[in-house]
Amino acid sequence: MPAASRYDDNVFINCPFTPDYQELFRALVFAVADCGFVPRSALERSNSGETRIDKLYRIIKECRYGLHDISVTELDPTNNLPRFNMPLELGIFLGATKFGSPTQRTKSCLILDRERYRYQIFCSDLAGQDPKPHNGEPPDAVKCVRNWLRAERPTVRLPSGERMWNRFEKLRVDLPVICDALMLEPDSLEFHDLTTVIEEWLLSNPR
Amino acid sequence: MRSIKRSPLGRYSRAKVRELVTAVHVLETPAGSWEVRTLGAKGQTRRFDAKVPAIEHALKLKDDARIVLHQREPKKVSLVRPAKVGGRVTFRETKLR
Repeated sequence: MPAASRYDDNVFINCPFTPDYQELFRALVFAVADCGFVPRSALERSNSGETRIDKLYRIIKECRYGLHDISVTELDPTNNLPRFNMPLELGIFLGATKFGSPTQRTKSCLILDRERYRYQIFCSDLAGQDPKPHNGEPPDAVKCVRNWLRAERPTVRLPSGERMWNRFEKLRVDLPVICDALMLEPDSLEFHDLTTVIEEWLLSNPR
Repeated sequence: MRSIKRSPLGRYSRAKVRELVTAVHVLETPAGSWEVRTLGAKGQTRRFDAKVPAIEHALKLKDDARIVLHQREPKKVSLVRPAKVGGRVTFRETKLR
């Protein structure tokens, strides 16, 4: 079934795509997939015929769940300005839950930040949304995602966040071997290559 | 018009990934020894001094699994299949990349 038609399973991952965030990003993608959901990202398709914002609208519309990491607020060393893409995409997602169709109003999201209550300094309107802290640590981020998606589907049994992280570490060890045979570079995997390897690895390693 | 049943981004590559995830991998290490590895949550590793005993061990590990051989210099990845030559069991390598 194409990902676009799996609204109830799709999780939009809104986070930075910088090299220093790569480990956290991969951990988030793995946690979403290990919970039985479909990770979606703005990285999944680069069609020059579609504007960036239209692509975001489309993906957000196709996802019932949204995972938004607003932890990166540092100023760009060249321009001395922060990046606003993550809060903007979070805003689009929250807007859809308020003004969208009945289906869009079923949306649920998890907001991640580095520290608890830090968001109050730079995005105080999020008060009441209860962003969860991942402390910049991938194991903590995995735990947050696991607990959120567990609550969204209470009937599905999931391993603990620690066990999920251990599984991810095993995958990380296997990744260079799989990439070597597939003629891919483990450090610069495209989103589809990454999700395909993760999904197939999970299929052959059921919980 | 004939339809294309197998796109390069479709079923074929996913099946190939599946095959590689479930395969037994025989890897040449920088030190020149050979490592037999099964992937996954219960993955195991065993090291050998030479290539042939490593492949023989890999062939014994899983009857139906593919054996993927990763050679360092020159860089080569091949599939290994058991073959019978004159009543003797040996193996045959097919270049994967």
